This record gives sequence, C-alpha cells and structure tokens, in this order.
Amino acid sequence: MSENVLEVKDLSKKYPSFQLSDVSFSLKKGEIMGFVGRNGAGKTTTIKSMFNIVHPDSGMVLFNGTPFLDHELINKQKLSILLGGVDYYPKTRIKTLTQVTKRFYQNWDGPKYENLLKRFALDENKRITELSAGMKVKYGLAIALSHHAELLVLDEPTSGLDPISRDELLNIFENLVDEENVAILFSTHITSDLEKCADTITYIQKGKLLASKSLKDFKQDYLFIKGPVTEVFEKIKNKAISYHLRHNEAEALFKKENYPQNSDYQAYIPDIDTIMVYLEKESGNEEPLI
Amino acid sequence: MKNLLYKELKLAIHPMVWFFSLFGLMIFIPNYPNCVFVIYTMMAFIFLFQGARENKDIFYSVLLPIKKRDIVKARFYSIASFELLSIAVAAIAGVCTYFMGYGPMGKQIGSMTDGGGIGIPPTFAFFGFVFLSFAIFNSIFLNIHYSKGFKMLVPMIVASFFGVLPVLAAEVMASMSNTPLENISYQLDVISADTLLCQLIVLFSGIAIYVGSFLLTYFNSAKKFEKTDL
Repeated sequence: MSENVLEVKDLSKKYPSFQLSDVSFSLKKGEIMGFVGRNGAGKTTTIKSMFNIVHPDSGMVLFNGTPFLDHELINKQKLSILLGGVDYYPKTRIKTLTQVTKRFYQNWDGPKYENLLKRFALDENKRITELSAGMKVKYGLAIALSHHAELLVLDEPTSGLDPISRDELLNIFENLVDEENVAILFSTHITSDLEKCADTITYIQKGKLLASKSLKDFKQDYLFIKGPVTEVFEKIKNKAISYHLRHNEAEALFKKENYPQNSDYQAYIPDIDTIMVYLEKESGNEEPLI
Repeated sequence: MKNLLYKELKLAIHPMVWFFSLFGLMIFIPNYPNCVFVIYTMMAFIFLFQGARENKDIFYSVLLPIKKRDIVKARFYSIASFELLSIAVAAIAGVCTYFMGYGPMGKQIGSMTDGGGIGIPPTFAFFGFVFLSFAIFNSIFLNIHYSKGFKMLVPMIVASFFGVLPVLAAEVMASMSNTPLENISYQLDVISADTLLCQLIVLFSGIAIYVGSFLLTYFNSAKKFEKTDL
C-alpha cells in the first residue's frame, strides 16, 4: 500500500488569463508540506482543482493510493480543507456551526472536540466574527481533528496573523503531525513559516511546478552571493537567476550547478525568502534605475 | 439529505423567510388584491439567497462530504417547502373567509356567489394561477442563478416581473364581469356546480406545470452547479 496519503499527477487547468500546467507532487503521512508561490501563482487553483471544487482539464489526484474522485464522499470524510480561516456563517455561534457540521461526519469524536476546544481556548458561545484570525484557523483545525482527518489542506492559514500567533499555529501543526500522524499541506507566501516547520516544499511559479522536494534539498539547489561589483561579477552575472545592484554592491542568486567554481565571492545557501524573491524577479536581472 | 436539510433550516434559511410565508394571511384583508401575497412571497427569495451568499454557504457546503448535486437539491427542497407553506397559509385563510361568510371581514362580499367584487377571490382557479406564477418565477430565477455564477438582482427582477403576470392576469380576468368576457370572469370568480370543473382544471394544470417545471429546473440547475468552478 502506498505510503503517500496524497499524490497529484499532471494537474492542469486553463483559464482565459491563467494556466495551471502539469502540477505533480506527493505527500506522505506525518509530513508537513509547504506549498509556496507568490500571490497569483496558482496555489489556490491547485488546491481547488485537487478536490473537484474547480474542474481540472486533465490530471489525477490519488488519495491513499486510489483516485480521489472514485470515492469522493468517503475520501472527504478523511480530509479537511480550510480555505483561509473559517469565514463562513460569521454571525453564527461556534456551538451552532459545530452542531450542524458534525452531522456530516461518520467518525465525529465528541470528547476529542471538547478537548480541542479547551486546548485552543475556544469559547463555543462566541460567534465566528468574534474570533481572531488565528482562532478561526484553530476552530477549523478543531473540526478537522474531531472527525479524524488524515490530511489537512490549509490555504494560507497563517496569512494575516501576527508573528506570535503564527508561531503558535506552526507549533500546533508540528504537534498534530507528531501526535496524530496526519499529513498537512499548507500554502503560504510567508516563507519564514516554512523554515520553521515544513518537511518538504512544493514551489509553484506562474502555474508551473518549479520544485517539489525536501526543504533541505530545495535550499541546497541554490547559492547566494553578496559583495562589491567587480569584473568577476560582470562575467558571472549572466549565469545568475537574477541579481540586484545598489551602491556598487551586488546580490545574486544562482542555481548551484550554474555557479562558477572560480568565483571570488563567498557563496551561501540562501533562505527560502531569498530564493523566492530572486526567483520571482520579473525581468530576471535588475539594473539600478540611476 | 437529512443532514443537508438540517443545515438549511439551522443555518442557511434566514428566519425572515418563514415570516414571509405568513403573507398568505393577506387574503383576510377586505377588498385587497390577493395577488399581492404572491409578490411578497417572491421577495422572500432575496433573504434566502442573499443570506446564503453573504454567509458563503456554497463554500461551507462544498467542503463537506456530500455530493455537489445534493447542495442544490436541499436548496430546492427549501424553496418548495417555503412556497407550498405560503400557498397553504393563503389557502387556509381563503377557506376561513369562505366560512366566515365574508361578513365581519367584509371580504369581497358576494364575490363567490355572483362573480362580483374586486379581483379574484381565493378560489381553486386562483391557486392554479398562483402555482403557475411560482412555476414561472422559479424557472427564470433559479435557472439564471445557477447558470450565471449565482447572480441575484437581475434574475430576481426579471423572474418577479414575469412570475407575477399569471396572478395579475387572473385578477384582471376575474374582474371583467360586465364585459364580453363575462363568462371567463364567472368561471374564475365563482365556486359552484357549473364552474367547479373549470376551477379544478385550472388548479391542477397549475400544479402540474409547477411540479414539471420545478423538476426540470432542478435537473438543469444541479447540472450547471456541478460544472461550475467555484
């Protein structure tokens, strides 16, 4: 039996102004995958296409080794998708929303839900609109875990949260993976979150998959240099993915295999933030305006 | 489906919607056009669909372990329940006015015996036209709503305009007692042995059109909803 809880194969979806092209990746049980890309890269479209919320033109999604759509209703019992925080029925009390939601899940675990409410300090009598952004995500997690979801798909769960709330949420993710062996796929453009807890990274750029590998391997694919603009820089700059010049200082990101060995510059393994910024520079290279 | 209907009752349907079903009691108002309750009933759809949209009901529902088609089915059950409840309230009010002898309420005195009075009284034929009105309203509004990305305002206006025409026509036809169309007026206005057949034909035709168009609209809407990228 496949160890992968989720396999996405060649997922494509064409819109008039955007195209998702052959996105493939897989996620194992007990793994946290960061799904990254800049705004509009296709993260949400991918998630929606995976679970039939939008209809992909081609491609396949396997859930626990079998096509997701073959047993859609059974599979949906075992996963939880959270698009942002819980922002539906904002004027409804948590108690009422849960009372309705739990009826749809065969494996609803009431005592576990009560425990999670206590653990997340959620007041059942509060309305959704009264919850902070972080609490909305926690409520979504409480619902997901109370029906024993094996896969949590969270679309930008940490966006709009302050650093402390983000850190708290990331710790919860880690605990869930360790304690419950769930798999978590979470999309974000806040790359520091990924440094903290992601096991693997799937990077999407303009609807195309750029990489899907372990965090360590992903970072080691790149080298970053910083230093004065010299003749050496002028020679090697064309091999850079992109670079930035200011006050005669240069910064540049290279694919590891393209970085010249005889360069005078000290090369570092960059953080994801740096990789993302330099990968996404529109023109590829950036000369100073003046 | 049971769970989805529970969701409709507990979350999706604004309590005001049920309040609107009580507009059937307007039948009690003396010398007031009965078709008005149909217009109020149609207005309740604003609460039903606008509320669902503001609460992001579709996104809540689509993430649940249910068939997409069943989301539409549950909504159609809600719509039918609401419309039939409204008609039932109006029908009970109509029967009451009949047994009250039109005295204390002054309701269209004599209209059921001599074809007089303003507009159409709550006869079998009137309710046939009510069913026809709802059939037209549902067909236009729901088909456009589910086909055109859940649009609300324009389909609501168009559906209400065309939907109200049958009951308006009934009001006009029933008021032509002193014209060459007097017999039509009499047939719609009066419940008696010589008009009962015509009355029942109109009623059951209305019901048949309502049921038939409702089912067709459901199948079309469910198909469109399943194909829609949310």
